[in-house]
Amino acid sequence: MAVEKDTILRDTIFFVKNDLDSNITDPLVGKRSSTSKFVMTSYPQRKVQYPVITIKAADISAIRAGMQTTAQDINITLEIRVWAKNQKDKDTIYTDIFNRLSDIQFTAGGSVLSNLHDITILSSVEVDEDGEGGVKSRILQVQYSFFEL
Amino acid sequence: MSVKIELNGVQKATKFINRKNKKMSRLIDSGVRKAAFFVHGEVKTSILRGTNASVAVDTGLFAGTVQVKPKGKDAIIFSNLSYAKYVEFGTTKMAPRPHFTNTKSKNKHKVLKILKEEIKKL
Repeated sequence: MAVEKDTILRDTIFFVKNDLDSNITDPLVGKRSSTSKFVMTSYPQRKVQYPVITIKAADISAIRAGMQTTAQDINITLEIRVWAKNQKDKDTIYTDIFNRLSDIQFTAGGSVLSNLHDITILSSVEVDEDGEGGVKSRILQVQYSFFEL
Repeated sequence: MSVKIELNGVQKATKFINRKNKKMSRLIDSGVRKAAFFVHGEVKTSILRGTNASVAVDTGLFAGTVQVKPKGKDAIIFSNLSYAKYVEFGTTKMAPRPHFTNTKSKNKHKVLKILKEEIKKL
């Protein structure tokens, strides 16, 4: 499904969500309860089973695509966060996401064909909670460019 | 037959360019410093008044530890407080309050404007 300008936020988030949901291996596959989800599109409000991945749009900015046009070149920044109970799961899932997003740029149904160009990894910050059993997390900031043609 | 070409004022021109180059470098440094202090103020305002994310004040320690470190053509705005990252990015028990990230995003254009104004002094 290609990303459209009218629904850019929703389309971008769901493009990444659907792809990660289908292609990143859930360490709890078969054990996860039916009320819990591996990939979510917001900060989890309910009780979750770790590991989980959350995706949200952190920033969106646009500039005019040229003179005498109402079209815009849009940059959209996504925040993909991996939450896990241990470092191994966190690092494995993070690496899988990192590789997956790079790999699907030019494939059929990939990011470029879905109108999301020039993937840039802006940062990947680690936010581990203190104490025994503290949840570990890593936040990956990814930027895509959308060109309104 | 031979042609003799003489260029006058090359030394003078080189000196002029070098002088302008140095001035430009100084102006960029000062522009970065001005922009950094501006963003620093905005981050503090955001923490105290909730302009870019929910207010994060209990004792005022967090806002008080936000520092700015201009270093040539770079500047860092940061807090050394142990729980600053939890406020910024959230935890399993607390939603994020991204004061730094949102302030940066919101003020991108103002930062560019400050830099442009400084460079115009050349």
